[in-house]
Amino acid sequence: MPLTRRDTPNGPVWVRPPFRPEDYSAPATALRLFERWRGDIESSEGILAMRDGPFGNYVEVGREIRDGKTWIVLLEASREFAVEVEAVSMGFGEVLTLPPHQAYELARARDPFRSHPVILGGSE
Amino acid sequence: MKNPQRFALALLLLLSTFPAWAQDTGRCPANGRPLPTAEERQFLAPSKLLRCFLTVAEISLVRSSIDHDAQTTVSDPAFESGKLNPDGSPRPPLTDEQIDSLTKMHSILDEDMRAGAIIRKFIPNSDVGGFLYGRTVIGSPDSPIVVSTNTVRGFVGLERNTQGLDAAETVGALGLDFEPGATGQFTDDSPIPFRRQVSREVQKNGLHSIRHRMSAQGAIDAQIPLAKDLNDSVESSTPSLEDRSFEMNRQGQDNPYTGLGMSDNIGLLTLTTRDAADATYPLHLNQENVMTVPTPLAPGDQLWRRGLGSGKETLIAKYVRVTLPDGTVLSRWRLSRDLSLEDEDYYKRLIRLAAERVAAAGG
Repeated sequence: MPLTRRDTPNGPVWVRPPFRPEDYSAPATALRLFERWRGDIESSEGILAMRDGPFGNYVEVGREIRDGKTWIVLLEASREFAVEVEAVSMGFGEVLTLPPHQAYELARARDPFRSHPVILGGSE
Repeated sequence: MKNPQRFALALLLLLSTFPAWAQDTGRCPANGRPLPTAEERQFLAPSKLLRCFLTVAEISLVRSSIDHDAQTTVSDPAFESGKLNPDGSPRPPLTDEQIDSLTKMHSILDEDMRAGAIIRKFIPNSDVGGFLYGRTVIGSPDSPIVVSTNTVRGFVGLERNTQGLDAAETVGALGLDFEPGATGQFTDDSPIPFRRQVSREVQKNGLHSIRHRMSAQGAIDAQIPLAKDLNDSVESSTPSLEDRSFEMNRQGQDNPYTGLGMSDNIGLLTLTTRDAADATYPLHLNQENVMTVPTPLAPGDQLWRRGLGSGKETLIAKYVRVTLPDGTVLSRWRLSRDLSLEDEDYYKRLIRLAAERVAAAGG
């Protein structure tokens, strides 16, 4: 869910509206884009690091190893949905969407580092 | 609708500049000249094509948008430094008028990114050998990976964007590339702060580009990268650009990526000694595209080299389909038969070096 900027007497703030699952759900088009890079010549990390690639708006917010596979947790920085991609040597492996409430928590975890204070639900 | 007033304004602008009148009369709405055909548009420099559809004032607004912040609504800290100029000063936000003119420009230029369009992908000279060999080595020295080089990826643009420009003018026109170091493939540093100069590499060995004919899928996948403010506006106001752009924000204050869907003026010093010491190559209006999915090279694609002093190019190689003795059909690069002996030696050496790198990596 993109935050909106509001100017207040104490300076600008970012406003985070009340949680709604649909605001933090990954669109199908996003998953399809990851899937279309399967088998690419670059590794998952290489593709995500491309300055001239289509994934520059994804921020890595976590990484873990499960069942011998490495999973990278990505938060789309503006729309704030989250996906988990399996890191492989060529392209991407499996791509999973994270539940909206989890995406919301990941987004909230970045709030303390934003350029302006974040206020919730429009309250001041 | 995020901003109905902006939408109405944009719609009004579009209706006023793309009227049926223009098609009926076959005349450009902005300057009254004959409308160029779709084929002619492929070879018209963007600045000339835009004069057909945009007023002088609108073109000035587009030019004035350089060095403005097109991502004021981005809140993630990862992009904070992208809102700054190279000297650390904040960039002013785009005005509504600049956004409208940029949107109009992109809706005009994007019509020509279609199946059959000719694009150029400029590549660093360090990659030429790997392309010609068909494989290269990527990854760290500790874990090298051998990969095929049979795709076009990353930033691309229509051929018309740099048609007739020499190597140095092309580097300046496209803002090639993000190279903050002392020496680079396209640019080297210069004695003047925040200025670059044409790299010794380009001066010595020229500037190489792949000339590729777009497939229908490739044209769909070649999208306009826009920073958030501009992308949001385009998505909400311009149906003709639906699914034609994607959000790509600027990271790092040194990064010449504009977020405006066009190249940045990187302050590239001219090579002409008659110019003032701080004279730079002019910015050329254009539209940048990013291959959101790599598109495969196609038989008929070509590798060209341009040098300094004129826009004349040398054909280096063609991508051709060959049938092996066992019946296998594959595509590979074939050096031009018209190369000078010196050039032939040079490119064969690059291919040999690429082959050695691949072999050393176990490929």
